[in-house]
Amino acid sequence: MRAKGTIWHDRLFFVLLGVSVICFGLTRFVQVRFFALPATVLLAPRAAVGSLFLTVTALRRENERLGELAVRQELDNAFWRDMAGAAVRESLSTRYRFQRALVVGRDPQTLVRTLIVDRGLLNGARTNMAAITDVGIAGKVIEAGASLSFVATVLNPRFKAAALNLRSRVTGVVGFREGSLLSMDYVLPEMDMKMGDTIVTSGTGGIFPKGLKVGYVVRADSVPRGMFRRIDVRPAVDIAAVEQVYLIEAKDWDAVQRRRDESREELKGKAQAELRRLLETSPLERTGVAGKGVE
Amino acid sequence: MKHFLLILLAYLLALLQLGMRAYFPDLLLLLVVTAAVFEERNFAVLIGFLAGLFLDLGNPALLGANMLIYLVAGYGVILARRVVYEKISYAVVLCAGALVLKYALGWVLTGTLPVAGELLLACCLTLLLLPPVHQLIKLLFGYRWKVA
Repeated sequence: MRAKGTIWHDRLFFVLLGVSVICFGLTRFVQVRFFALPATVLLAPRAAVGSLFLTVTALRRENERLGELAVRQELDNAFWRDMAGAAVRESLSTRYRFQRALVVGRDPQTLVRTLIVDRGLLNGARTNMAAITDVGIAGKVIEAGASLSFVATVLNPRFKAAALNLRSRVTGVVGFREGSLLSMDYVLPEMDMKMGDTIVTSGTGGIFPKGLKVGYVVRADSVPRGMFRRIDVRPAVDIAAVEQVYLIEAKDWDAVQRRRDESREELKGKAQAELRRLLETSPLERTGVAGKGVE
Repeated sequence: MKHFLLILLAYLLALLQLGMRAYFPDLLLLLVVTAAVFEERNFAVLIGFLAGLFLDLGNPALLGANMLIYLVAGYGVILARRVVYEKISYAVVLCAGALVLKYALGWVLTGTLPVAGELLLACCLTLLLLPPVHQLIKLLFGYRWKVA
């Protein structure tokens, strides 16, 4: 026996069932014609979310493209900065191969000495590749694992790079000083170095291309300490805020390495030959006394 | 207020489900089954109907099919809950029945069925998700077990 009121509930079900059947029985044309508008209104949030998702995806792709473009631009700028009187050369962005690497970790103590990036040997990363951003150099790869690499930043005590003053062309070696400052070493007292000068890489050493921005001089003591002046440089790149870097290497990297090895072997051979020659000659001949004769 | 929130939830789940593949769990059916178990019959029937309507509006060319499927599945659970006595395992059985009804009606009305693997996966995922969803809705809306 049914409870009172149950029939009304069942009646609602049958009414809705009837509506459903009628809707289902309508021709496709009527269905689409009359329900297109409510469908559009009800599905508007979904369309908006979909559109937002597509926009975000497109923006992310665009951002990646622009980031790459900015690095190419920086490389080209480095080239033009270095141009002053040089003959027409191939642009740096075409001479160097680069790949984007996201920062996935940092050293736990200072967060700025070492970065861990998501590119390793499997992705073509190698030890001693330069890590740059669109504003300048960030560091270099000191160890490449299978899928991750460690980048010693410019604020790492292990980091050294040959650099020069963009204005006066004074050269030196840039390394970590303290805090967030770099030092430019081996600058003699008579060399021209002023506050605000831009320091760029000099290109010697083979890791960094010439002309990449390192930082700006923030202190240039005129009174030397020992033989050299104290020059403090503030890095161009804010290492604490770096989220991605570009690992770059010369397209003829292997050839460069081979040439370097060959020249090293050649020098070694020359040195050994010179040593043999010195050992074969008598001590008197070596000092030049034998030629003068003894009276 | 509770009813309004349930209808809103059905609407949001329908929006979510419209973009899902065939092997994804049927979240809307979970809601319909839960509402059919806990809610009064009048509203449970309405939720089933609205759930189908929201889904159908995503594809007006098949208008009515999902309305019928969810309405009948919900009503089936309402009828079957007369024998449910405060055990969640019975809800799983009811949900399994609703799934059978859903796919059988879908096949009768539209003549299409997902491939066997997808169908099986969707059913398993739906049944697996039922207890947590059930508990969650119970907690959110303060439902208690009651025999219809």
